[in-house]
Amino acid sequence: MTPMGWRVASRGLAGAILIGLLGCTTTQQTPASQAAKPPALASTAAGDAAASRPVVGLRRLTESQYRNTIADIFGDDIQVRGRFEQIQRPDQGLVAVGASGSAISAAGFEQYEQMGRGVAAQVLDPAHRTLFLPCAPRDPARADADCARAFFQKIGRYVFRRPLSANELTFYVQVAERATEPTGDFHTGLSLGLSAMLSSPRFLYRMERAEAGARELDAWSKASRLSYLLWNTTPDEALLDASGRGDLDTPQGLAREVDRLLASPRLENGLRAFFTDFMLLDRTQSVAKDPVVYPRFDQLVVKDLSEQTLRTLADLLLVQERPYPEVFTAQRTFLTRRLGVIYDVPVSSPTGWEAYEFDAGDDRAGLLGQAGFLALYSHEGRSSPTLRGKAIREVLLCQPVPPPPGNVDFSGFNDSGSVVLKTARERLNRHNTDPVCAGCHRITDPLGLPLERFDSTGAFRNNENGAKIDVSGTYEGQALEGASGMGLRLSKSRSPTDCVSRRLAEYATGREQEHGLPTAWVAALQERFAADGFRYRALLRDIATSPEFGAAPALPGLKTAAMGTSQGVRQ
Amino acid sequence: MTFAALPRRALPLLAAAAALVGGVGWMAFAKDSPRQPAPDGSYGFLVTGVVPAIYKGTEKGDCPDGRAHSTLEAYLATQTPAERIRLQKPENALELEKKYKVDFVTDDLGHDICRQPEAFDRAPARIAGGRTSFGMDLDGGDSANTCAHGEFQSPTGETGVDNQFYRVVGCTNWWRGAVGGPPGEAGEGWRMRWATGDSRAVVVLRGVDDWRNDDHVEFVLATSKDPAPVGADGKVIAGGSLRMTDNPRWRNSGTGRIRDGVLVTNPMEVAIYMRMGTDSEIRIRHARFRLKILPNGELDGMVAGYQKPREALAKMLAGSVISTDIQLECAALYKAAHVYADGDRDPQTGKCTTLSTAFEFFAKPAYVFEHDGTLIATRQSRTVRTASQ
Repeated sequence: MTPMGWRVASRGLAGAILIGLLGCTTTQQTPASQAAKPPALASTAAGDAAASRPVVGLRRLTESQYRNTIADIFGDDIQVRGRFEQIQRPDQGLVAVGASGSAISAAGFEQYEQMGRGVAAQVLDPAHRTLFLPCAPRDPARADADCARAFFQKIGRYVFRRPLSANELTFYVQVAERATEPTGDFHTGLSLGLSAMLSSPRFLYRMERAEAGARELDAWSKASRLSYLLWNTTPDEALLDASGRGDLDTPQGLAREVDRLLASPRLENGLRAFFTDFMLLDRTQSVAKDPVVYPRFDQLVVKDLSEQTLRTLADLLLVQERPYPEVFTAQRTFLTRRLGVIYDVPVSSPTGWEAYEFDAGDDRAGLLGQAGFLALYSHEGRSSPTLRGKAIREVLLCQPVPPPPGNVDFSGFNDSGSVVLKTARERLNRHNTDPVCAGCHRITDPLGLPLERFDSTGAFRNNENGAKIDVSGTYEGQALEGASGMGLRLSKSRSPTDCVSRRLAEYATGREQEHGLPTAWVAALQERFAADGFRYRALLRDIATSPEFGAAPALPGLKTAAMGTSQGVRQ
Repeated sequence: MTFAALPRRALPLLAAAAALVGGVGWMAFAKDSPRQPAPDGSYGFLVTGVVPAIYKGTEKGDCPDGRAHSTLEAYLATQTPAERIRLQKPENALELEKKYKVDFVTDDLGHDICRQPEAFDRAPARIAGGRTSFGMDLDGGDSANTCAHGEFQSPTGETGVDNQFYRVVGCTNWWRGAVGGPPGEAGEGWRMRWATGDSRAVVVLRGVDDWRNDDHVEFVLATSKDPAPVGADGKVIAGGSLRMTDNPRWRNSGTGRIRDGVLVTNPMEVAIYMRMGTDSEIRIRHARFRLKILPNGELDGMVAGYQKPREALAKMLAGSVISTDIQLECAALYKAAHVYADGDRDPQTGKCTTLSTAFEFFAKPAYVFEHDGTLIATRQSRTVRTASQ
């Protein structure tokens, strides 16, 4: 292969993708140059049927889903190198919901194309190709349609999360053939075909399909929903087989697969993905503090913030199977040496994580005492009862707080070194003499002020500017004291459990209540969550086995939810 | 797991399934901390600096005979006035450089003036002849085990201060710094070794009943297995967790007492790891610590004791680069160190074998573990967190 040959092949690939993106439909047209040739490719009846169903929903893979999917299909030694275009988070919503309406810009697509090409090149390099190729080409310097077909048929089922249609198979075999000609290398041809497959919307989006007029998603779409909800990755062999057999269309078969996925260690991946989205933990990676004020808080601490919360949640909800409200009161957590410095506790392991249990009566109990939450909802140089209270309301209780008016005078409050108004409470009291401000602060501050014994980094303090900190607050009309008091009140309230069950339903379906998620279903989930003792695994099972989870969305104005018939869907 | 290549990659799944069947907990991170409470009255500290204490007063007062010669000055002093003038002409710069940077610092047998200073017969370096120095009265005026030496007065007025190491190096540019300028680079180098974790040690105080006055406390100074945690501002931070070494050579124990918030130990032998030129440890004989216990829980003070000339000058005896780049005339300093040695008199020869010395000593509160992970000391001045405060 000459460099020029490679460039030709690359252009050919780009063309193939463009054809796929812009021109081809589910009933794939054979390119004109090949029209005279007989397709000579075996049709897969299941693939034809699956590909012909109308698309009723599109959900873009998140970065973690993309990475997990590539690792599961091809092995975790295959590197994914590139920058992922962000999926926009809806206002006070989940990225999972944003993914349902997320387009890819030209620049973003370029990145996907580059990543796909990199993955394909690794998969078909001499060190890996024998793992994936079910055959050897008759001549490695020439195209071999039979071997290419066998490869794409096998790999395509994992990449598209369903069997390929005959036309899709023909298309990718032809891409590989055309790329083999100028490069003179069968494997390079395959690599370019695979790279086109990895750049297809059918891979980058979870395309949810349903029979025309049907109320339920097809089995392949249900399998993807299940797998990405519970494992945050692509369906495994057993789940694809179950889809092919129609098991997911029966309550018993569906329950069997749900229980299998729930029993797997990989459930932790699903929990991590949901809580990262629900609690906005991805944002902790960009937390920064003033190094002069907080020298203990550096990038090593930042790196551990979300991981601590996720380990705590996985341990509490999956290993110990404790009720969700204990998220706000649990004394057991996990620490690294660097977090130990912030928490001011001993950590014996020089590297890695170890379990740590705070004493009974310690104000550190629960999520509200974790540095991730406390540091994320603070300013660079000072804590913020208002940001913390707002986060409790909006993130943990699903209760939106109105934005501040545009003409607020913050000057008095921002003077955190004031010798007169020494504590945040005193400064907020002064600020709230303005009735325009007081309205919202009454909603947020009583929840944030009890956390004031934790500074902007989450480190403990008793005084601010030499004055003793008052950590009294109220929640749902009840007086409370300190972070542990706040956590205790939250643990006895229905609002946090109703919030998490609502968010999990939204996460599972990619829809919000305001946009078609059945309110009655969410209410029923909330009740059953309570009846099940607020066990997270039970809530997941309830959602995943509900008819509403596998329901095709009713799209207004479309009798058959006909996005993506032969007129609409592009490769 | 890779579905597309199931035969090879199904193994992790099978293993996971087997683990589940076998009832093995699958969360790899669920390792429990030992969490033994530290013994009552045991407090840990992270050493943040052990740096030779070099007093810098007035130039005339501290170095009345002038600065110690640099290597170049020492070489030129061996030449006739006419030859000195010739060699210092610009056109002879290369010749001069070869003579003082090569010929003058190595001998015919290949000895290096810094690595083998005893092979060179040089006059003792000019010493610090002033009256003031940091340090402690180590001998109490007892001459039985010492040799005759001048004593200093400390800047705070303490008399009888023994610090012959300062006397030897106190007028070198490397230690004293330029005239009118900041202290020399040598001290900064020591400080950097602690700041970067290149040197690491912990202190454990056992049996502390009262931070103001306690008649008996145990004092342990040991090398740490772990580097000091460094904050976003590049400085070592308090509150970290560190393990003591399991090497008995670098675990030093002694006893002491606290008087008016100042910890004073009885003489003890000290050796802790520190990469130091030709040596890899600081060794201080008959060491006494005098450390003020600050309100924030830090220790700030001094350790004084005796070092053999090679131990004291270890950093300077690393090689000829010291003589050529830093311009320390190693053999002259080495000679002076022997001439002014004041401790550990050899009963056979009647000559003293060690130099009195003093180091600044700083430590911050820290959690200290045994090398096996058992918590043995909690940190001083920890804020207690309870919901009802």
